[in-house]
Amino acid sequence: MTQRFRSVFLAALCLFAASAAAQPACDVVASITSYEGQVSIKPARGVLKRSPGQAPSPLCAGDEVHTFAGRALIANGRFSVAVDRDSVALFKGAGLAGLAKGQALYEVQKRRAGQSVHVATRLSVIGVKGTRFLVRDQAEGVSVVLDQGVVDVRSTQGPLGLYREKAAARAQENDFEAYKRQAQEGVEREKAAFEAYKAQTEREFVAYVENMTLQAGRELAISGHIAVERAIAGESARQLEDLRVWLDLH
Amino acid sequence: MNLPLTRPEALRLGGLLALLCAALTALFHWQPGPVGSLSSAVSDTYYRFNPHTPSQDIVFIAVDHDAVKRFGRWPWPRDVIAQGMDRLAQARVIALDMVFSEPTEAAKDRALAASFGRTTAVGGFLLNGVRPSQPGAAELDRLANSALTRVQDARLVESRVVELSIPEILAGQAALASLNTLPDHDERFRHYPAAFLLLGMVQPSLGVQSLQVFLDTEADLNAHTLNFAERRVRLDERGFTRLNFYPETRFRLMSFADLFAPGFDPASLVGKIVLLGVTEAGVTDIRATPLGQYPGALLHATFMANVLDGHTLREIGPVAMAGALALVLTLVAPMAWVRNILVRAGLYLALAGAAWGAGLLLYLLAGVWLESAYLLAAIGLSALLLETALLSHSRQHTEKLRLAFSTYLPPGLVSRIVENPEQLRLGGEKKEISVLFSDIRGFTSMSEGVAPERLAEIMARYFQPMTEAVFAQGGALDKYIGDAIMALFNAPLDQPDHALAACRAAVAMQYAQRAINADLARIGGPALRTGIGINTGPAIVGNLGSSIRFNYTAIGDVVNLASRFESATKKLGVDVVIGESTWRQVKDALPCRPLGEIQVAGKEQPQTVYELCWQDCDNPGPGPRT
Repeated sequence: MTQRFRSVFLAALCLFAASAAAQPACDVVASITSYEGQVSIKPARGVLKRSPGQAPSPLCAGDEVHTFAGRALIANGRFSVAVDRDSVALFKGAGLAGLAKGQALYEVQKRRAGQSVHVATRLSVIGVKGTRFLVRDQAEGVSVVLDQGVVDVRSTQGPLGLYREKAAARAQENDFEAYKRQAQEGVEREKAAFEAYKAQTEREFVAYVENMTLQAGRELAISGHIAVERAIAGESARQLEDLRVWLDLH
Repeated sequence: MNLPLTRPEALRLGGLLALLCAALTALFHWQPGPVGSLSSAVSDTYYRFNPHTPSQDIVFIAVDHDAVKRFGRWPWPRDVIAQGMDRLAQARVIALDMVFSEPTEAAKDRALAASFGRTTAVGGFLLNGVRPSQPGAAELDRLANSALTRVQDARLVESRVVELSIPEILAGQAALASLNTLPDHDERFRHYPAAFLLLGMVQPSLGVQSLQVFLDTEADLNAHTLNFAERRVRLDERGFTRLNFYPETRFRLMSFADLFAPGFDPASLVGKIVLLGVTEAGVTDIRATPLGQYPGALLHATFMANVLDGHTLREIGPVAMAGALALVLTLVAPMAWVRNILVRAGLYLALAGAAWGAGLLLYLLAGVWLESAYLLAAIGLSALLLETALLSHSRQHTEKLRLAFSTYLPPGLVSRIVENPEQLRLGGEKKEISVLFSDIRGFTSMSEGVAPERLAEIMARYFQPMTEAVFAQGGALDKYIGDAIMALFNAPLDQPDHALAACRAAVAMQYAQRAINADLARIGGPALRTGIGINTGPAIVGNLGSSIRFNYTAIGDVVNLASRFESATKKLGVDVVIGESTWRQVKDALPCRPLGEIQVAGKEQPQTVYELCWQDCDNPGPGPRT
């Protein structure tokens, strides 16, 4: 925790320093405090992307951070974001972030009055109350994987059918993941097997909801008009751990 | 002349046409090299009719012959290019169809890099170029800044090596883009790539990157389309789109040398896309296209103009092609019922012209690209199948006719029927005919005293010359009925003088009878005498049997009366009796003698009959007189 507070403090300091030094002609909402590999910034105005250059690199409102074979750590006074490879993260304001593609780990400080943080995805808006969570945007949908704290998830697609996976199903998934790790088959066959597995997973319908509150240790996967809530496991757990380690290191 | 096909033949032909449709659809889907080349050779002709002019927002600055005359052989010192770039500075975007992959004099390289920095220049790179290399970190950063990120499920051609400009020049360029294009199987360039996959990044082509900057819109790329906001470009499975070519002369072209001409106004390029490329002969950036040799740079310009002006093309897929093929084959099939082969040939040509014309209209009016070669192949091959089926049908039909009529008719008439079957109406028709019945008098009593083998020999000697006498007059042998012969005249083929021919046949038969008797006398056989009845009138003639047994015959009152007249010869004591209707037609040509009226069975009214005097009317035999 100490290290995390230190990184947030450093991020705030960097943001202040970047704002003062670079004096960009825009509303600076965050800055890239660290990155590795290929990372580009697409400004809000224009289509030509630029490299972050020497960190810290300020981000204006509306800027997008595109990662390719690289990762970027972005922070402002309220949150830190570790943007994973092949992702696009958006920063529309000091308290309004977003993820257009890929995955990112958000760590949000406990908010003070009037300092809320929202993370927009293509299917939902996540209202944050001080927490750490992973957002994954994949072809099949968007998942919110909550490591700590509590988040509110609001669907932007209208009411969703909320299902909750049973514990038995989780055990099956773990079995499946174990099998998946051991399997030597090609990726396509694995996907097909996983899809078949998912179709068999036991779920129980909870309600039609537009707003949901997710508790720590749970994952909410939204696909179409269905949201499935379950315990964090498998690939989500591994991605969460991977980015958490990288975030803590920086 | 061809007749409609039988049901089994039609079903077989339909099956073959369906197979043809499936085979051509499969060919269209997979397009093996030679097939794709052949089909393109047909559809390439459409480009000649392109009525559009490319956007004048695109200006092509060519390193051409004039420029080479002024500045020397390409490549030029880079400070020269830098001077040109400064004259282009007011353009909205400068697309560079060239790579500066080797360092030259440092100062001149710096000058060029600086000039790029004063403009919005999109630099090019070549995937798998002449001097490919693994990009370093700085170059990867430049590539990352140029990559497309709004990409979903795109299927792209991948490369792992790239030939980039030197880092100093790269740094001055606003963005990078691929200059690669790939030819079709016949080495002609017809398609333009949206992007390539390079080192895990989706790198746009020069046209795509330049349009992003020009339109200030990020391109959205997915498996089937490339979208610039509302502008949509349809892509094939490789991420390529078919270009809609314009004649080279319709582009706004300038020589690089013109930039240095006294009258050149840099403001004329404000807000334009300037494409800088090499057209000078000897530099190999010349591409074979459907419109002939084309500067490679104009492929990029063509793509950009297609997008800006909405001239992009949509190639139809296998499902639509299958539908078009089915439609064409459906139109070919009914041609089986067109009897004249010349008319059919004309219809095939007209349909082929319509198929090609439909492709042209779709191209001109809807921007839809139809490979009409497949339709033309469908028409050609289906015509071949149809003609083969018709020929086979015709041969079978001919053989059937020959078999059916060779026993009834003399060989000459059979040949006439086979050659002109349209003269024959099978299935029954009503027409006037003359019917001849002959019978051996006293045959029953004679046969009782003769051994069967001898009787068969006698009958063989009798029927042969009698039948030949009928055939000699163009008559048709309907049937033998015991010792009787029934013959038809004016059927199945038309015979205008059928009554006269029937009478002549009767006379010939009587003379033949004499010869038969002389022959029989030599073998000790009995002398025979034949009575003949002839009548003329309307009858139903034709194939009145079934498909199992083909039986050409005649039915009607005229047949019955002819038979009755033959029966009356014995009672009247004459050899040949003809009815009144026959007499009217032959009275001026043949000697006849009235025999008065006779009552025949089945007729209430008495019938007027005449004797055909085949030997001597002045010495009449016994019988009534009128």
